[in-house]
Amino acid sequence: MKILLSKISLALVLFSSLSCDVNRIPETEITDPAFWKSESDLKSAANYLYTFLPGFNLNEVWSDNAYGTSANPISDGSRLAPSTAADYATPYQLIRAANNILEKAPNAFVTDAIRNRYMAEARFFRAFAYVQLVQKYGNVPLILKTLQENSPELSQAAASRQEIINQIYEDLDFAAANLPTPAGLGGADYGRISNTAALALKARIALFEGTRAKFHNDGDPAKHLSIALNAAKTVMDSKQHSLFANYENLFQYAGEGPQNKENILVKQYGTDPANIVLNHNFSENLYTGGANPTKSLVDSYLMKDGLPITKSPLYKTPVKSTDVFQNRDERLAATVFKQGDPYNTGAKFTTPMNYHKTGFGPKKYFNATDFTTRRALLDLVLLRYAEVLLTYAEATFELNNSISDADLDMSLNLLRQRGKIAPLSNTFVQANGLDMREEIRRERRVELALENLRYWDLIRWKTAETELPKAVLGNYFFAEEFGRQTPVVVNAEGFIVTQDASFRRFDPAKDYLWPFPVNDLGLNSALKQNPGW
Amino acid sequence: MMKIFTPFHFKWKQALLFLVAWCYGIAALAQQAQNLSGKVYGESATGLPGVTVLIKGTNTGTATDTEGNYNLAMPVGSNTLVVSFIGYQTQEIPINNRNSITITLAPDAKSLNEVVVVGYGTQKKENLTGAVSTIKSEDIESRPVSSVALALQGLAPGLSVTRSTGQPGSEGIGIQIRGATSANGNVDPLVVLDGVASPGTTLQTLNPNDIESITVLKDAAAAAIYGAQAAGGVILVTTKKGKSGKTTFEYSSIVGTDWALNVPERMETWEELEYNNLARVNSGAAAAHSAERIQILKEGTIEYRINPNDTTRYEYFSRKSIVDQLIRKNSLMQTHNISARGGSDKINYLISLGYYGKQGVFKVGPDRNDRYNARLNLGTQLTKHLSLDSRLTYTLQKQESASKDVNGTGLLLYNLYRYSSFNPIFTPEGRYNTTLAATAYAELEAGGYNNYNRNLLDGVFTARLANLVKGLEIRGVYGVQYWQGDRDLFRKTVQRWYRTAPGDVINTPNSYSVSNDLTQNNNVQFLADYNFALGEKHHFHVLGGYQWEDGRYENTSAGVTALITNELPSLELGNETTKTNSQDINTYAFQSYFGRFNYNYSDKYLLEATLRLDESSRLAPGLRTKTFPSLSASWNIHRESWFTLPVISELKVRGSWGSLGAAQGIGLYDYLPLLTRNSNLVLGSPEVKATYIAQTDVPSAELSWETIQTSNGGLDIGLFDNKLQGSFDYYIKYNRNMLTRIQLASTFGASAPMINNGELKSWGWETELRYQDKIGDNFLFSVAANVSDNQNELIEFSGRKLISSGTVGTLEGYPLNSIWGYRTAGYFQTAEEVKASPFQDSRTGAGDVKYQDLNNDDRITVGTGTLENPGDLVYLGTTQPRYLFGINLSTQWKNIDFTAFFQGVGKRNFMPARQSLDANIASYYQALAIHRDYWTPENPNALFPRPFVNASHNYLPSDQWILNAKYIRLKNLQVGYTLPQHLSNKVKLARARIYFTGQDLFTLSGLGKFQGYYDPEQRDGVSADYPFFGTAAMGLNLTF
Repeated sequence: MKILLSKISLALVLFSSLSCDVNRIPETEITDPAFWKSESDLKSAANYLYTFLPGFNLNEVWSDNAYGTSANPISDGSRLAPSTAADYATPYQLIRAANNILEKAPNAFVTDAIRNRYMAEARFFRAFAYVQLVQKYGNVPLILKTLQENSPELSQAAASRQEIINQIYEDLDFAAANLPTPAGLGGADYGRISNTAALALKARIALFEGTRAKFHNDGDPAKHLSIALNAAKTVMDSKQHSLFANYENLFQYAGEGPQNKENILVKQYGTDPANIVLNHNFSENLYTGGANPTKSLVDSYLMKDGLPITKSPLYKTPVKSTDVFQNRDERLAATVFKQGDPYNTGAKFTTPMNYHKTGFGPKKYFNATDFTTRRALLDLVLLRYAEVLLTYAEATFELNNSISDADLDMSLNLLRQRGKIAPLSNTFVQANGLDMREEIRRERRVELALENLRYWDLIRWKTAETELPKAVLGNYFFAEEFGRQTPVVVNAEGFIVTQDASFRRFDPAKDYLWPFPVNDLGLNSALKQNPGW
Repeated sequence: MMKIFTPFHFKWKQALLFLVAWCYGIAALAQQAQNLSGKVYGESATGLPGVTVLIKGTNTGTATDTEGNYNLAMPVGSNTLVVSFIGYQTQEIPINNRNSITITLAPDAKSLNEVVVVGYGTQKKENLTGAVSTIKSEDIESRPVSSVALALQGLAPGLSVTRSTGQPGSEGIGIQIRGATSANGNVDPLVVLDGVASPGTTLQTLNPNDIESITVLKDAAAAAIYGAQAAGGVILVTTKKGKSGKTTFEYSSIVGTDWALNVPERMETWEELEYNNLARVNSGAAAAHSAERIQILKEGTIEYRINPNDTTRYEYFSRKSIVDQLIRKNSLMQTHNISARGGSDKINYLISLGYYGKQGVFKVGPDRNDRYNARLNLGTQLTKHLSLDSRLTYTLQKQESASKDVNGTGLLLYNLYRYSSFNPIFTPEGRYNTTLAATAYAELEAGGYNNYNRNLLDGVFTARLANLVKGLEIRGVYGVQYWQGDRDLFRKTVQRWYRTAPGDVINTPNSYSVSNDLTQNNNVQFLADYNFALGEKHHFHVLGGYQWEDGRYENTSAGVTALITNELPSLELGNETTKTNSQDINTYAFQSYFGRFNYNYSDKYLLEATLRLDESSRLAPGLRTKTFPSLSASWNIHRESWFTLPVISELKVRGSWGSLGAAQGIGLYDYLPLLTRNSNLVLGSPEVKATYIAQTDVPSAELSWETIQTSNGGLDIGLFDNKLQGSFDYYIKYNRNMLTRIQLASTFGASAPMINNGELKSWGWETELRYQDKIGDNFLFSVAANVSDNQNELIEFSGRKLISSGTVGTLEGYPLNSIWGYRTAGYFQTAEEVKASPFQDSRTGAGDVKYQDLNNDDRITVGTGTLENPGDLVYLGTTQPRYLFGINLSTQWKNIDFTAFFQGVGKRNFMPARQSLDANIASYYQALAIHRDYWTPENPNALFPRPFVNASHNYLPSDQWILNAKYIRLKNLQVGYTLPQHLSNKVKLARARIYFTGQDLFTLSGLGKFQGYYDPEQRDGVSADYPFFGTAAMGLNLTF
């Protein structure tokens, strides 16, 4: 018994001294301190920024260029301030990721050139995020470092528009100075940011600011317009870019890759339908009426003689839908579907009125193969040379209130040439009673139709208040072709009425800026809601 | 042995301990035994089967066979026999060297004497100090349900079981004990199977027939022995074990039919097109469906014709219901079980095999769940002191489902219910039609499958060394779960057709992926129990224990796309460049020391204290350890000599306080700055996949346990010789260092870290009443009812005071999941009324919902979304169920038994998803039959507003759409007939019972006109979820 007891007490002693190691470490993930060492680390970190490049979207319906299958609250003025908004939150995620690289890259074991290159990419993306923010919200908080949960910056007031724009310029200047040229990128790095991408983005935002300052009478138009002009000119002088010969193919697989010198920045989706890394469904979205061109857009396309339909002797009132394309700017047929176009394996296009509400089908970026497989892989062009040329022309005109024929010929007329319409000149304008500003704007609208820029043009020109409240009209109603299966409303002139003017509004006192998400106002009392919301 | 321990970094001393125990066992084996036999009678002249006959102070014992006979080998020196059976008074009989003893047991209504399983041990029910509910095997038997979890609905007060869908194998089961514990999501109860912690899904894979009893530990006093894992309460499941005596075989089966309970009715095709046209016109668009199409559909004269505008296509006028073509009216369910139980004085065993199978609701394609259970429970008395209990179970579960998700807006069922069906599923040639409505059918029939097979092996091995020293028992427990799962996901391409030309292809390119997961949990416990007394009245019990838990989950998956064939899914047959693989490993470890002290003064005053120290790998070093104490006491007033009220047979008060832990919301490695890697990015020319690495979460370095302090007061009462029993409990729980994700402005740019600074108060009560009696000799009846309630208030949560319309999960000063919405005043009846009212929405017109401008700012807004300025939003209740109840009526008359079990919820609100309420969220989605009741000037108080495409302005969260989900449901109904003994004996059966059993047969709810369209058990934000089932089945139980 005694031995027994001693053994039991031995067991109890052992028992009470049991102790094991409870440490467990992740086996399939790495931690931050082990990272940020090599060039490949910097590149992997920078790659994350590219995931923020916007993908295909139907935002053209915000403008007077397109109408979806149902009303759009931004376009018709029926929206309310949201409680949370990705439009506001996502750019700050990109800003944090960029700031993180800017803070950690200095400690990597790489040459200064390599370090600066990835820091330049980070600064490009930071500017890219602030461009989105400033266009929508105006004054926003300016965050230039990765914040901690107790950082005072979290409760800081919005920085002025001017501070943000200056930061954007500074970031883009650094990016332009430290990034390779498009040719210098080479094949393996195709798709990465080049110095001309930085300049093209700078030209875009500077034109936005310059014209906005001018037409909203807020700020210094000349300063920004000069910046836009110079940035555009630098891209033009770099000789890195030229127009792609075929406008329609610009938005097809034929226009992909470095051989197309017009593209400056592209969101890539890959090419192999059997090996899908990332895909979209934009062809399907277009076919099912995601963004149908409006009468307003189609009417803005010129006749071959360079005159608008209201002035050109070439224009005849159409009796069938294909007549609309007769003697028109060729870009119309590349942007809008024509009856009989191939659209599906072996099939000819007939307007599906249940989807194509306006009687016009969107064709830009529509691809028959993508549509058939429902796995679209076409790349999305985010910045292209044509826009740089248009920016050059517009900035020049708005800065001087005039533009020389030489300037027109080196910019805008290259696009008209591709569209196979007569060139624009000061004499042509005078001879035909046209307005130069209107023609420059028309050229921009036509060339960049359905590329998500029109809404911002209306905002900066302060024309949204006149254009957006108008009724949304479509094509002539060609009863024979469109069929009676889908009844439509037709006005006295015979046009399809897609949305009546009584359903549309735009309040200039509030709608030029977007509402901040209500949650953010609650979390940061220094942030004030935009006027009228 | 060594092999088992190597993975846990065990050292030689642990092995030695086992060796010590092992040696003593061998030494004790050599003892000599003598036989004792006899028969046990109850009230009648037939023997009582299943009675436990035990030699006092040992584990040697047996159970009587079907005739009531017992036979056991008596160790030398045995002098007293303990004979016990549920419902009878336990008797102690001196053996006095006899070899044969006949025993008659007296019935006992004092079931408080029963022994209940508690944490790391057992306790007499009468001596419990904590809040504990028990569920016996009878309560869950003969129920045509898919799992134990569902059978538990309504059985115990404070135990809430919810489900979200009826999809076989994916019922979305949630179990909560005593309501919310944390604002960071449901704190699941800890499930302990035969003494070893097991994943909660065990309650969905376990064979219900194998269960002996279930104990629910609700308050801190009962659960604190499980420390950091017990904040959500503990469910202890004990499986049946063998009984000494002749082998008893039992066969039981249920075969029945299920029918879907809430498949919405659709309109006629022409009706939905007319509705759709109206909606389009009202929303400022043109009608889409011509009068001719509608007329042809109404007449039903032609089903299709060649499209005059495009001769490669047909124009269809189908009137066939696509829902009826795909959804079954009735589906089959069945379960079969066979078991053998028996043993001798040294060995007892239970062997059981079970099968459960259920067909889903779809007529074509993969949609079913099958489960096979096998169990071997083996008890062996190795020596006088050492016994070994082994419980091994193997489960095979095979779930088959469609390759696409079924539940939710825009997914398979939603599309089936909502796409317009005048285009049929098949072309006249019998090919799949290129039309949205046919997608669900084609996806199911030909679009592949998502099959998940699981092989679950669970073992619990307990070595028990008893009475080496009087009153001391030492246990070593090893528990293991080795769970392996294989998922095969094959998305097959489906070609669809126009008239002559091929149309689109679904699932192109095809893809195939396999995913293997392996869960390995190991649990080692060393427990020592010591019982001693000081004098006659002071009884003490001390338990000390150590537990080690180690969990590892690994998932490896691989996939290919663009397979060369649609017929043979294989990783070998895909496009080389598309091959992907991935790996995921989760690990955790737990180490705990714990002890319990019980003091019992003459069974009158009872005191219990527990202490547990937990250490876990989930927390940062230095913050890993925490102690969880509890203290409880009870007073058996009826045992006082001065207590002489004859009506009251039992009266007990209880009180407890304790602290429990929850790791809710804590990830496995949250304290580390982890980087995520992904490669859904394309760069370069040629375009290739690019990899990126990012830190998307900011680490939460300071995390610690949430600790929940619970106080409980309870009262147990028995009246009229315990024919009427009742209990009542009241409790308050404070989660005082709850994890909160810091609320940060969007400018932070990442998901914010978490800290322990929140506070949640949760409180409630539970009551249970049971009356049983008999009228005459043949009519037995019992009525049992339980009701419980729980409420909570979020006191602090990182200053979260933001309101948005809809369900707000966390809002300080309010319950969790509070619903915020507008007040409505019916519909606008005229355009003038709209003009005269505060601005609502640019679309608003006559027939739209009229929201009330409560803050008189002439607009309907959410203000700043704060409590100070909520705009026009008001608090409209919570989604939390309250007043949960269960009512059981049970009678037996001669050989006929009848049980009706009702279950329900007294108060709950939820709002279905807008996409589910709105008739036309997009113009190509259609209205349902329920939408017929829409506003017109003649129908001013309709159920729905005027038809309008994408009418988000009409479906803002508001009192109009917050549904009252209180309900009472006939959960189970059983009518059985047991064959008289003489008849069953003729066919060599000990017992035979045939019965009808029905599940979810009848429901009354507060849903009003929405009943049948929604189910009161559905989730907040429901949209086209897989329907629940009602069941009617026949069952058979045979014992032989």
